[in-house]
Amino acid sequence: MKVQFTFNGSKVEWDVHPGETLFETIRREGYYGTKRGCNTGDCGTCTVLINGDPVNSCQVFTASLEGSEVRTIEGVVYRDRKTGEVIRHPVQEKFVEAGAIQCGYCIPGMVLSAIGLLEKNPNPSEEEIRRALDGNICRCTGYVKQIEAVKEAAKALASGAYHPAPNRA
Amino acid sequence: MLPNVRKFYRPTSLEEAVALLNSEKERNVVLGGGTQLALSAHPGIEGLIDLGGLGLDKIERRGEEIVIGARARPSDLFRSELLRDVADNILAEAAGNYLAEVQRNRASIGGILISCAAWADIAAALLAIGGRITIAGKDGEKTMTVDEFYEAGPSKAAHRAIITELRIRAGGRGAYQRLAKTETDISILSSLVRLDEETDGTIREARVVIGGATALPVRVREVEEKLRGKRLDPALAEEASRDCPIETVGDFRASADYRRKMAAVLTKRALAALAK
Ligand SMILES: Cc1cc2nc3c(=O)[nH]c(=O)nc-3n(C[C@H](O)[C@H](O)[C@H](O)COP(=O)(O)OP(=O)(O)OC[C@H]3O[C@@H](n4cnc5c(N)ncnc54)[C@H](O)[C@@H]3O)c2cc1C
Repeated sequence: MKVQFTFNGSKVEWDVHPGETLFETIRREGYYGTKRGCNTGDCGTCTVLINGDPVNSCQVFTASLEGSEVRTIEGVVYRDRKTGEVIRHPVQEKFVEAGAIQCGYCIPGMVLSAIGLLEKNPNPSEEEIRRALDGNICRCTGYVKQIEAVKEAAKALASGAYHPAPNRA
Repeated sequence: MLPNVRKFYRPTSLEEAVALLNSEKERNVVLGGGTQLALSAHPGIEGLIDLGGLGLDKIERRGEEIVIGARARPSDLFRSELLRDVADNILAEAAGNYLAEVQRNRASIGGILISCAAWADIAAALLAIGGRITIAGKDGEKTMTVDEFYEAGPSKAAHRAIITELRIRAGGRGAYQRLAKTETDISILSSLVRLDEETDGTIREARVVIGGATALPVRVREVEEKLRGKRLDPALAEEASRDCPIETVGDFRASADYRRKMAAVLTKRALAALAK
């Protein structure tokens, strides 16, 4: 069956099996930034944003997304306001700076959860950051650096130096 | 991946959805958030009936009641201003303890009620708050209390039918205590209380519920009896919760015996928090 939705800023119409998950669709379409973790809904590694909300893509039927807005890690880059250069999203940038990444496998999901939070709540408390990341399991680190990175990203976004990049699906 | 699904239906009316669910020709199931169904590989499911087009995702106030659509998500409950008026927000708090943000953003209250996992603090909170569940089947819509829903058992109460909404009474005071291995783990046990009191503080109705003891949340009538008609002070909180005579089961998180003892402890803490 055909499903139409907005994917990383562009309208797409994809042919899907009515019983397949968004995770399966994304990977088949060649977006490998979304990682397979447990496939039982427990780890958060396959997190994407659906209408701005972080959700496990293994727990969603693609067919249910008609008319929705879906973003994966490929769709979150920014453009620098002064130079026009394509740059990493401030959340990604701050994850790098804070040393929040070790093996990196959980990071796309965790970055999307952080972006989902900051878009709704630009100035979150530590408690709110912890709550927002509670579905993204990381087996390398102790979460402290990711929490620091999200705090720094909130400050960076508030500085106004960034604005969203144009569509680039 | 549900391998044998051939049709994905997006009904725009409840009648259409109910008719599809009662089809003799194909085996269709209702789709809420999909957090359970999408993980399933059940070979018998041939069609999915998406409730997304029926406008069942709202939380609104109608008179003295708060109406929650069956497609509302735990994150909607957690953020709802309206629920703050119900038993000191215990339903929203329970919704906040639903496993993780990536599921709170997707699961539906209808699906949670139907699957009724033992660890569903949301289900226990609904029983503590008390309310009515509307269910649409091929003979039309019926309403039952949350108590009746659990007495019948969710699969029987909503057999080939669709939960459409919940209606809960605003007001009351409430308390919620839970026991879990870590802050983000599901509850081993929870105790939830709703008190409705006269202006002088006399308890008109007490609802005391334990979640996680067995498959379904239960009311502890013995404790409720001890509270009714009295005013809750620290001594009564202690006395009423001394014993919580409920059935419990054991699993890898906790033994049945530990759960039974902790049911009394959590209830004591919940009542103590409400004592004046
Ligand atoms: C990783 C994971 C974590 C979980 N964590 C928790 C937790 O912390 N707390 C908790 O309580 N539960 C938890 N659950 C269980 C989950 O809440 C249930 O599986 C629930 O059914 C999910 O709701 P849904 O809307 O996504 O269901 P779906 O997957 O859409 O449907 C599940 C079942 O409910 C039926 N159904 C859905 N909506 C309706 C309706 N309106 N009327 C009639 N039938 C309906 C479907 O037909 C299906 O049989 C978890 C499950 C997973 C996989």
